[in-house]
This record gives sequence, structure tokens and C-alpha cells, in this order.
Amino acid sequence: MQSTIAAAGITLGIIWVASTGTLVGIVAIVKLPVETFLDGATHPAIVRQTDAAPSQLARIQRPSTVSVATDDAFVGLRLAVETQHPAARGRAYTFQMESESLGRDAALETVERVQARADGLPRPFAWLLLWGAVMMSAYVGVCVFFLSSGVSAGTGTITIGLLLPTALIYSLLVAGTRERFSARLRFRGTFGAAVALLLAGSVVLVGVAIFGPGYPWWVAIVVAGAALLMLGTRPALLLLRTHGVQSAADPWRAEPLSRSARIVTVAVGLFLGLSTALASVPLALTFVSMPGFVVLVVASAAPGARWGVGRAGYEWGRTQWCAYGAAVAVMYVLAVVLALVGTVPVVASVVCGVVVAGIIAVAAFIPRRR
Amino acid sequence: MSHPRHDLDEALLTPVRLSLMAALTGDAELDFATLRSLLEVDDSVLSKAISYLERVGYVHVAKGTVSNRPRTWVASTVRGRRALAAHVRALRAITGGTRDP
Repeated sequence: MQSTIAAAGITLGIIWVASTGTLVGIVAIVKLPVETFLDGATHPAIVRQTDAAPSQLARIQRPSTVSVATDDAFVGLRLAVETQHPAARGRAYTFQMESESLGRDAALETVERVQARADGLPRPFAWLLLWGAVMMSAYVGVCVFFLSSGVSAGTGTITIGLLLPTALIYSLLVAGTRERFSARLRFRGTFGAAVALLLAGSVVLVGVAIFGPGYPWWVAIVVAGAALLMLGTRPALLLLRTHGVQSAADPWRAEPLSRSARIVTVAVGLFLGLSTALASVPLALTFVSMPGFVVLVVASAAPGARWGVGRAGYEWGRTQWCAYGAAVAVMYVLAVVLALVGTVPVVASVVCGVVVAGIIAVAAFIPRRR
Repeated sequence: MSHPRHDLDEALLTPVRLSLMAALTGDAELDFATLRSLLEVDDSVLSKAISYLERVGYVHVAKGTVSNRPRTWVASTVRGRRALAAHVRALRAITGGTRDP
């Protein structure tokens, strides 16, 4: 009823203005919220041309004929108007007016509708963060467990040569993978603080392991749990909150890798496989891990490069990430066994190395190109 | 006590800018193409809205590249989220709290 009264009022007002003006012959379809008029607000009536290019803006001067239509939130007016735009004079264009304000109910509905649609968009990215939280907490846990048995030349080599590359390669890969997502979780200061806390705690533990009396093995479980909690809570909560909500297009979908990404993926597999195979021979592992580090640092310097690890990460889908997770799990299990028994037969580490390299290399070719 | 309509934020009175802020109030930062598709607007309208909101400090725009192609990321700022919350509060106050939050 309120809308109808307002529409009638607007109509009369505009007809009055029109009766004193000049008809130019340009038709405009105008939508204005009822509240604009009820409040006596003075929003300029900006008209947007919709059926001709280039886009032209005009200001309604003298509407001459009016028809009124109402829908849920707007009163629509069909007007013949005079426009200030010189290019539009005398030509039969249709104009769509961009409303300068929304009705209040319509505004609240818009906010709720858009928020509901946007809420689920970062779900695929939340899965990536959750995966990263599991990966990083496992890495920190294994490192802390490994160093709990004391630090020697051998344990230092294993930590740097076997475990550290998995985290370094992960960080390079994930930097590329992030770019696949069109909706990401906003960076928060609390997340940065959690990572800083985690790093500081790790440094303290390494210090205690090297210079102090050491620490019990269960500290590894506590640290891994804390890391998982700090890094994984936010994506997990988002996934729970938006369960069943439609998300953005699946960025995890499996697509054939490009030639360069395949080569880099196989190279990553071979590097990790070789490091694993040499885990029982710490001296040899040093010779593999050091050149490997140099390559990784160079790859980090150019993350957008065609042959960089980050570029391969950009193309990685679900298959490659699952393969990487399985390969890293094999490496971590080997590291835990090494920490428990001190050494493993060369055959065992070589078999593990072949498995690690094989899993990642095979994943590089799935799915096959048609 | 002043009428709650005085608490409405001038920057959020247009549908596109309001929708844009609503899309960014969650935990997400969205790229330009996703926003365009979500809000069902064309490039120029969205670009104009983003520029306006960036100018008033409600959104933060970051440029990136994907496979050597430029990409624009848009995220809300604390100020922007507060402004939207205040704007929505004012809208609800005007409608007499007849709508659920």
C-alpha cells in the first residue's frame, strides 16, 4: 500500500515536471526504491544507456510521459526524458537507471543473500589449509621426536637432508597451488602469530636438544597437536560451518599436467626418493641434499617461472597432492624408525626411496593427455 | 536520540557497493572474476565500486599473477567490515527489528 501511494505520488510529481518540459523522444526505464522518495532524499537520477556502445551517462531533466510498475522492492518508471548527453540527442536509446540507493528491506535481503552465496566459496581453499596443517604438524612432530633422542652428526643430517626438504618443497608447491583458487581465506594476524609461536617453540626445543638436557619423546605429540590446533582450527571451522553450502568451481580437479610441470614433478620425486634411499648413509645424503637445496633456492627465487616448483604446484590437482602426502608419510615413518633404532638396512631405505620416487613420478602422468 | 537512518553509510547506499562489501565480510578474499560472477555485474561497474571502496578504506586490493596473467584480489578491511556491520544495524533499526539478524 505504501509503495502504491509513493508510486502515485512520484507519478504525479513527474507528470507535473514533464508538463512544463520538452519531449526529446528518448525512452528510459527507471527503477527507484520507494524509500528514496519517502525520505525526501535527493539522489541524482543517473541514467545508464544499455543498448548502445560506448556507454553514455545522462541526467534526467524533463520527463514527459510516465508509466508506473511495482515489484517487491522497487517502483519502476518508464519515462521519456531529455538528456544532457549531446551524443544521445534525438536518438531512440533505452536507458537503464542505476538506483542510487536500495530500499531497506531489499538492502538487508541483498546482504543476506550475497553473504550466503559467498560463504561457501573458500571451501576448497580451506581443504588446502587443512591439508597443510596436517602436513606441517606431522613435519614438526617428526622433527621434534627425532631430536628428542639427542643430537648427533647423523641426526642433524637426517633432519636437514630428509625432513627439511619435504617442508621446503611443500611451501614452494603450495605457493603455486594457492593461485588456482579464486576464493581464499583472508590472512589474519593471529595466524601469523601462531606460525611465529610455532617457529619460536621449535627453535627453543632445538636449543634444548643441542645445548640442554634434552626432552622426553612425548613432547613431540604435544607440539604436533598444538601445531595442528593452531593451523587447522580455522579451516576446519569454516568447513564445518559451511557444510552443504555450494562452493566455487573445484580447483582440485585432476587435469593433465603440462610438459614442464611433469618434468618438475618427476624431478621432485627423484630428489625426495634419492634422499630417502640415502637415509641409511648420512654422508651420501649430505652430498644429495646440499645440491638439492641450491636448486630449491633458485626455484624459490623465481616462483612464477615456467620450470619452478611453484609453477608445478599451480598445476597440481588432487592426485598429485595425495601422492605427495603418501610419499612424505613414507619418509616420515622412515625418520621415526631411524630415531627409534638408530639405523636401518640400506635395502630398506632404498626400497622406501623407490616407493617415494615412484608414487610422485606416476602421479605426474595422471590423468593422461588425450 | 537521532534517527537510525543517520547511521547509514553513504558509501554503502548503492546496490553494487553494498553487495561487494557483503561478499567480503566473511573470511574470504575473492578475485575479480569471482566477484563479477557473484554480483552479476560487468567489469566497469565492479571496477568502479572497488575503486570507490578502496578510496574510502573499506577494501584492500592486491595484484597478483596467475600463469603470467594479472589477477586482482579484493579483501575487506577491518574498517570496511565495521562500516558494513554498522550499516546493517542501522537498516535493522529502521525496519524495527522485524528481520532476524
